[in-house]
Amino acid sequence: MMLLFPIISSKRQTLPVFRCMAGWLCILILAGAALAEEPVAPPTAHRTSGCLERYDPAIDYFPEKATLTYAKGFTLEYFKHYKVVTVTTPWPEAKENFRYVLVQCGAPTPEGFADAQVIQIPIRSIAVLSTTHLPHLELLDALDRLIAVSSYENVYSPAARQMITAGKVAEVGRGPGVNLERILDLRPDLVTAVGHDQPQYNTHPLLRNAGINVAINSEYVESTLLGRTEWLKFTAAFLNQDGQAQRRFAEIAERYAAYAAQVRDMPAAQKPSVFGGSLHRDVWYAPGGDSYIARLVADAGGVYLWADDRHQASIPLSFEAVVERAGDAEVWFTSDLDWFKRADLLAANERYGAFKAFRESRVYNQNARLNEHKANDYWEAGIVEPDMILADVIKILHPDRLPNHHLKYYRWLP
Amino acid sequence: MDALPSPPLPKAEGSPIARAPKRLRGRDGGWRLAVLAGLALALVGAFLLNLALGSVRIPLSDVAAVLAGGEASKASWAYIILEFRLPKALTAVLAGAALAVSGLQMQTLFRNPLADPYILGVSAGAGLGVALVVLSTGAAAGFLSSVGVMGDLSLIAAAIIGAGGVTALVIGLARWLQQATTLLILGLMLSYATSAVVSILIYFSAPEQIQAYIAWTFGSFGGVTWRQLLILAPLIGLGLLLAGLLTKPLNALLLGETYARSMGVNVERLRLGMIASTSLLAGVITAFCGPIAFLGVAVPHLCRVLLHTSDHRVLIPATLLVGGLIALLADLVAGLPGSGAILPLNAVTALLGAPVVIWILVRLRQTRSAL
Repeated sequence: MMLLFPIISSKRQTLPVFRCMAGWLCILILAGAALAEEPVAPPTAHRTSGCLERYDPAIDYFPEKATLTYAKGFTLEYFKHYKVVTVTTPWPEAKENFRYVLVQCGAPTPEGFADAQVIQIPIRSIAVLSTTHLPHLELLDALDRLIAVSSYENVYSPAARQMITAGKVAEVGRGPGVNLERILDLRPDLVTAVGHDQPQYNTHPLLRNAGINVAINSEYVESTLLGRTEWLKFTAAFLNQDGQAQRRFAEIAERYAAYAAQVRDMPAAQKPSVFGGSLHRDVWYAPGGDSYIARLVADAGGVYLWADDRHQASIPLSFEAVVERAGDAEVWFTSDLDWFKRADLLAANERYGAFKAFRESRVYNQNARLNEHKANDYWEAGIVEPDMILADVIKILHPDRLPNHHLKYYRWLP
Repeated sequence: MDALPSPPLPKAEGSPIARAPKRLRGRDGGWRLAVLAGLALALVGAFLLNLALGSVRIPLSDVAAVLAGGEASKASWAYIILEFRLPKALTAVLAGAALAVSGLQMQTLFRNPLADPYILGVSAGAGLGVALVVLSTGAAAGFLSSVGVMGDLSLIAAAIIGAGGVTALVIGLARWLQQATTLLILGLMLSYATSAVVSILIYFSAPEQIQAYIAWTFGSFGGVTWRQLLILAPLIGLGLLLAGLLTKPLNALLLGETYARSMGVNVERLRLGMIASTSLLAGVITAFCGPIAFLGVAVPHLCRVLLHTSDHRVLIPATLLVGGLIALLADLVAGLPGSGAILPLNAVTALLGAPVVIWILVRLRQTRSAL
């Protein structure tokens, strides 16, 4: 009897005749089940990992709820048999919202959400168009539901790579280069895409037009590492894993707070000055003062030299302005995939030698974990390990504070 | 033939070539020399201004001290002036001069007032080279880094290879083409073809990569370091020397190819020489500074109106000076003195330059003689 349900629901998109037949079958089976079972006291809350056999409007199907503390880009609302997930910041400075109504499979679709996308949960298959969504699946023990990624090359996770090698995961591209036919063929229950402020790079309109369920997961809009990590609860809502996401996130946030506490009361005089970014011709792109880097440096007991800036994205600065402000700065964080030693920087541009942090060999790059395809784990497992990233930065800024910690995500450039 | 330049002044008689030598020696010649000297002075002034002003405010006394070989009150100031502003100003002068002179050559060669240094597809070729490195994460970038070329240098190398490839193609085909117009169309077609490849690359690229490509198209002088200047300067010198050597036959070309032939000019060889010098000048500048627009097309017009002549013996030094001057001024504005930000150079040259050129053209009511 249980076996029938997945089959029926997988035919949801087929001919109306089938749907009609499926409906009748349902009723017959439900009737059979009702007759067969002795009436017991009805439960008031019930979490399910599959479809409902029988819908009861009195039951709260989501007894485990997630609440948001750090993430500002989306909201979660729980009702008895459906959830409303609203992405309020699908990309920086967005003017539009995206609302998803997540309906427990087997329960009726609620009224009044004509403008929203209705998605049956829990989803059984997912395609992720950003590697930053992969660690969510791993942390929620749902990696087996992954059926497609945008690009094999960008995947770091050994478990996901194994699935790729085994031929279980397709490569579907994204943005204007998305392979719509392959996605239509795979019909994932959900595609998670990244929102972009330049519409031509967005994948979600293409997928929506093709009738594919797509949700925008833009953790990068958050200005704190913990905010980014908390998008874990976004993915979890579609998997009905809200409780697990809530617990795992709480552990992560607790570890983060414990590390931050080690340097919180540090006197200003002991806080090293920090700058970031790199030079492209004569323009220096530095992390903005409201970027996660700025916040990370502050949490790790450092002084970010552009903390007075109010941009979340990177800011273009003139080279001379950077030399003037950061020439004597103590630590430099950069993010170029190809830099493994300081000589690589000099080969790229001799002007990097102008900085004291360079001369005194205090340059750190977030490329400690690259695989042979140059996929960077910083943008994968790092998304759900903000505590390790913070520990790295504390270790870099105050080596005496974490004597036993070894850098995981940051690489020292000798 | 309607693009043929009419005599610039009503009182002038005869062809520019016939009358030019007299004018240089006569009263008008003296006036022109004075204008050229004034331009040279302005260039020196603008050069010093570029050393003194920038995003970082440095007191004039410190600027003077550093330039005199002394110490500034802050160590970073000496670095900014000597390692950043000085090579940047030198690059601006070289780039402005190179683009203006090659623009002049192309306008004369094609007898088309809209011709610019890039008309033969040089910048499109360079753009393709850069796009291959920036946009395709695979082969091209991998090849360059495997030979030890990284970062900005890989962009320069790619641009030189791209521009050189297109130039070789143009020169190869130019020998079979009789008409200058056909050459013009050839350059245009090569530009279309290379741009098409770039659009395909952009189409399949991530936004971050596209951003890097677009940043390249903005153009800038400040990316050139001393080490790069050691390559750039001799190449530009060579290109300008070649342009200078072609001055005399270029004047003959003003009256049409048939006329030039009758004057004993080897038009085919002249054409090859101009293609070579223009490609060298525009290709090298595009490689090191990006595709700097506007200067190449506008400066020759400005100089013709300012000096009332089509004589290349006057125009080449004039475009050289005005090109350098405008490049310096544009870079000064792009640097937004006193603020930490910078504007894209290409936006500044066109945004400030276009109204000025329009104003001068209208004001002097010499549009008829603009070419």
